[in-house]
Amino acid sequence: MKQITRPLLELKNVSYAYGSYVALNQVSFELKAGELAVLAGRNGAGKSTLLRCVAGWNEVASGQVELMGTSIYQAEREMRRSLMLVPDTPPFYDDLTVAEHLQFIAQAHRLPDWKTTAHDLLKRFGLVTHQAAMPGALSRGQRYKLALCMALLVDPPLLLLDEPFGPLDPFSAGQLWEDLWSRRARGKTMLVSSHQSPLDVQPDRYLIMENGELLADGAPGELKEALHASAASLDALLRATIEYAERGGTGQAGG
Amino acid sequence: MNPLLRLRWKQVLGITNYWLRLVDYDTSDRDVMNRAYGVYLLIFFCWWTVAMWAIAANFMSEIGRALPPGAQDAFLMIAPAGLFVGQILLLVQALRSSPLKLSTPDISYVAGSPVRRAIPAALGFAGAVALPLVVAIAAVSFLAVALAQAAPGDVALGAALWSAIGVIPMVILAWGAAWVIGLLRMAIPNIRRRRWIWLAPVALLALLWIVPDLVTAPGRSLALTMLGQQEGLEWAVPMAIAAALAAAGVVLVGDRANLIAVVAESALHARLKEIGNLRWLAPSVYLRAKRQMQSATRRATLRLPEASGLRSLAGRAALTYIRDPLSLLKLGFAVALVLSGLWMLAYQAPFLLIVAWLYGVAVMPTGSLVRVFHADVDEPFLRQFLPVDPLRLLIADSAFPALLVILASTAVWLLLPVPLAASVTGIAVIVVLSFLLALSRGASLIPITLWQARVSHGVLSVICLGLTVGAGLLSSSMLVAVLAGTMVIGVLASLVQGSRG
Repeated sequence: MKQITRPLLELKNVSYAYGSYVALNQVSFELKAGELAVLAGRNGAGKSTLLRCVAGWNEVASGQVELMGTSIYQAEREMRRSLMLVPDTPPFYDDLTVAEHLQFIAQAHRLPDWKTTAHDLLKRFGLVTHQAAMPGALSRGQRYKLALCMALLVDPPLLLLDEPFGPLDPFSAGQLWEDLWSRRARGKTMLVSSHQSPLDVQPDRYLIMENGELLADGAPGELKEALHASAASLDALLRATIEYAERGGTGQAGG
Repeated sequence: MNPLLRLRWKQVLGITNYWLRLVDYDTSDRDVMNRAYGVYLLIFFCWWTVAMWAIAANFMSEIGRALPPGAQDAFLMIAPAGLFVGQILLLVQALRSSPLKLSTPDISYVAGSPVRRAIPAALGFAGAVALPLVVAIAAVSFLAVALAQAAPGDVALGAALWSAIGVIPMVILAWGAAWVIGLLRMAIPNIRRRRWIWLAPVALLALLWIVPDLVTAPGRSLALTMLGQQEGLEWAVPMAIAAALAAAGVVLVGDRANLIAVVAESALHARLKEIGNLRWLAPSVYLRAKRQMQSATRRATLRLPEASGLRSLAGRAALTYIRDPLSLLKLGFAVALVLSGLWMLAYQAPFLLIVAWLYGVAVMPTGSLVRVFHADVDEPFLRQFLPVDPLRLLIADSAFPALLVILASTAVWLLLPVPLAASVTGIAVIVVLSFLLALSRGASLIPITLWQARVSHGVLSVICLGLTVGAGLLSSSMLVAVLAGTMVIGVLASLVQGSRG
């Protein structure tokens, strides 16, 4: 008997509007467990809105967002343990230090052996020397790293990252990419919105958006072929997709 | 002095223009119709101010007539000591951080010119004392209208007038003394180096026991004038002389202040000033930015307790309050509301007083009761790290402040001469009112599933506390109020638990 594998995340015709401005228009795609997908697109394409809808921070105007077959709006509390979104400018607890942020979250989630993991995360992201600092004293990049440490400490099955490489230095960006791959190897799923990715690395899939619509969805190699792009890099695929759309192409270009 | 005055004048004009544009008046437009509209606005504003003052004064006189006998004596007992404590708090504040604060344009001007240091100090003092002066005059005159109703003869208006005039030197003296002490710290490095110097004025509280008559004399004179038991302003003459000396002291000591240190301590103020009118348009954004900036340079005291689950949430909330003692002081508003509610139940207050109390419930800044919960539910990024339902989160986050409100209110209640049975029921009322206040505040921060939206805390608090106190007053029983309050808590708790916050 053929086994049916249910996708971890499924979006069905998701639309969202800010007043009269349509930010997302009938977006549909699936993500399987253990997939690392990059959501790409120009400024204002709808990437952040899409991530916020997936996380349940914005309620969709129409369509469905399902996590493991359940609508995120129906099983919201359970979802909090299953997915996490790190926004591009994350807020923090004003009166807790860097180390206390991780301690508090670990204790709230009753995580076992969290101290080693927390210390390891702080070390890898270069925050060990800032453990006693308040978040307000950190730079933008360090604040994003703290937010990443918080999410990685909880280690949810689905991790959503909004523009993670923008605030990070190249070394930390490479470190993060390694972390994402190691999570992928453990069967965890990630959806990362980005304009850029570290050199010489590719995700499993690219989802390319423009004007609130999903224009292309597929593996880098497949997309390169379908779009006749010069390379399978994010930059080349983004350019090829936009040119394709401007020529009047509709629907899914790849995948 | 002129350039700095001009700069300050420009800033005032800029702010005024902004608010005038909101009512469609453009100060740069010289058109006759626009000017006529300006005159109309001015006349309307004057009429509105007089009308509002008359309505408020009438309302206060009604309240004054409804006050139970003994209220005036209680005011005379509490107000003078309260004013002395207020003076100490001003001294503490002036020693914690420079009272003279410079904005970014001020800093640029001061850095780029050979200005006498007394000039920014004098201008800063004038600016700092202006708003408290207006607020004090208004508050004192309205209170006097209410309190003087019990005095023989029609003395209420006279009492309001004398009190309003008498409070002017008092405010200038209070702020002037604080500024002189604060500026001394900025002038003498040895004082500045002592980190805990700001606690020193607290020792002055002992004077309330050693020489009570001396330290409460100014407050007592003002209180007697407000009560209509003292005519004329002879008592205010020495205070006016002292206020003038304090103002001169500000100029003298200000001329010796180290402006480099002043600029260093003005960083937060300067950055907050840059937020501009957002302070009034989005106060929550302003307060959040302020808290972040303040905490950025703060050294963490105590450690986050080792606990898990809900206890870790409660421990974190307590730590947050302890690390920001000012937020604990703000709980005093909640204590005042709870105690006044209990007092109304105990003494069967008349309808007008209940209306005034409910107005207080709606507008009093009791947000510090749910400060941590507010931060948790306001930011979805932080909320996703807390895997508990809204009710349990609200309980964990507001348990510590609610407990403090209950303890403080109970302590005051037990100090009052009430029979034992009333004491016990009174404590139950305190517990119920404190939880209701926290719960209705918390419920207003999340969208309740039943009506799919947030309801303003004013409306929710007035309904919940009004029902409780109303039930107690109608039945003339505090026990009924406790039962009604418990039921309201039950309903509100189930609504919060089922919400999507």
